[in-house]
Amino acid sequence: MTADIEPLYDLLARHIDAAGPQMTPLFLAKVALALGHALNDTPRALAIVTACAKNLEG
Amino acid sequence: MRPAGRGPLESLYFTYPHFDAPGPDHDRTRPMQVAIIGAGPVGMVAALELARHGQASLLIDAKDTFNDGSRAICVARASYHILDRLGAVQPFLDKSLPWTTGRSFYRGQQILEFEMPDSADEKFRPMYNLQQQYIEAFLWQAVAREPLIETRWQTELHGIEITGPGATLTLRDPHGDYTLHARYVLAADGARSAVRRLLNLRLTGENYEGRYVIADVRMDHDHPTIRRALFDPACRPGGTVLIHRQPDDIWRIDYQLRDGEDPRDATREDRVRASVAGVLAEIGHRGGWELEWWSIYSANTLALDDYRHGPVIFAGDSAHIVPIFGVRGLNNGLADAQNIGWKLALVLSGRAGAGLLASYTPERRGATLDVFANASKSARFMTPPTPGWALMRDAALSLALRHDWAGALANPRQMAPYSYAQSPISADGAPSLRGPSVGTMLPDKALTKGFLSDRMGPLFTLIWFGKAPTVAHPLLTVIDQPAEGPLARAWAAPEGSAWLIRPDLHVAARWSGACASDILSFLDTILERQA
Repeated sequence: MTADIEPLYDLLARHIDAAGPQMTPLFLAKVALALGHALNDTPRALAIVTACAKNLEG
Repeated sequence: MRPAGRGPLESLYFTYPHFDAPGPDHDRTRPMQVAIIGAGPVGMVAALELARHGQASLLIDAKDTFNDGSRAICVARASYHILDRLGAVQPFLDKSLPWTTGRSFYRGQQILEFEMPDSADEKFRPMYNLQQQYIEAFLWQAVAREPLIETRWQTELHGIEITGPGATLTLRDPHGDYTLHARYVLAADGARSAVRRLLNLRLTGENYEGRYVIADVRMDHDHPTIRRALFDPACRPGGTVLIHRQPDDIWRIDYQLRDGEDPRDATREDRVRASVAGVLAEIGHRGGWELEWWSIYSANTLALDDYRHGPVIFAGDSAHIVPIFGVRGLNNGLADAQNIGWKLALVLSGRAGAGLLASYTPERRGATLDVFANASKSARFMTPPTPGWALMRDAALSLALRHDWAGALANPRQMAPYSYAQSPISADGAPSLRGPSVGTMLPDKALTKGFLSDRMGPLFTLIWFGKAPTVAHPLLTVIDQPAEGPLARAWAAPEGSAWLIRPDLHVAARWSGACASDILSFLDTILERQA
């Protein structure tokens, strides 16, 4: 893990806990849309989303 | 539906006329060039467009009055141009409420305000609200004064047989059954089209989840003509509500039923009253209100595979059912009617070959498929079909409380007119020109006197930048525009460039440095295509 992604990792974990299991999907969906908007590169955002859909079997 | 104690046509603000059937001695069986089944807005516009080009028609309707209820209420700019070309627009302008703005709210907080494109160069506003009874009444004024249109009310279609060049109709009125031959039959008889049923034709497509109740109320409510959309409001958690102002202090409340809510139950008068009261409380209406009319619908995208079946041509809801979110039901129906109207008039008068009619399905079914694509996006937002769509919709709405960019996802994508770029009768002789593309609707422009759209001839119009050469064709009006004038600047049109505009104001072709023979040969190609 690179140094600058760690604060994001920590913050997401804290907000997921604060949101609770019921609101976690909504929270993460908002995060994904907002990060995608900030990225301002639709093909790259789509590729990242597709990549994230892999290995979900846990 | 109307409140208990009021008849189906007892409106708070509109008096339905009664139309008699033809008398017993009326000459019923005389063959007709065009029979139009359905005297609703689509049938009447088709008859008026045919008449505008000198072609007679017979309008047939089973009812003895107009359609009940306000139904379609949003009439788009392109439809006002259709009415304007028919010389019928004035009563519409006098009565309807123009609007440009929409506002969307999420849990009571505004997340989006959108403006539809408008400017002083446009003769008409982007949208007008007007109850369908008035739409039909104003069209009827024009139909009733047109000697080329015969209307038979209380006349029901019972059979249709395709016989050689044309079709034989079996009709029934209070005086009995009779048959009538028509060279062409226009089926403008709505979503439950008798013509479609009698020919065993089926609409194909999808039904979306989600049902809506539409209710009209009369109330003194101080709010401009702005479309309001309420997502997840306190009065209907998880649902969507739309509110539109109409003339005569009538307000349209449109609300989504919850999953599992029984439609029969939801359309009971007491339930409708309670739901409307909840919406009115939410928008801060404290005064009284009267319930006028209500109905229920679901969002479907259904269309015929071919709008033409030999001599029978389908237009409007008989050919396509679209979700209301894009306000394309009535508007696309009127565009169908105008499209087939001018083509049929040219074919029947021998000014074009029957092959011209082959462009009707690709152009107008193409417009329907375009609506489906946009409406599917709107429907997915208004009534998310799966948990995934629902979660992303909620995420977008939640973000939109603080971020304008997310509010744009809630934009209903209304009313962009369809382009006929792919039509068999479109041709782009100069793709590098920057002015209006082939297939698009003519963008209007304020000129020193009136608007560009006012200068268009009855059929085809050639707009030539610079000194136009002599281009003589019986169907063509030529107007020249100064090469350095305001229109040339707006379109970045170089001297010698030319645009050919169709009778329905779409761009048929464009050229740079064209000569008269190019234009005449293009006109001959599209008009003399053989079937």
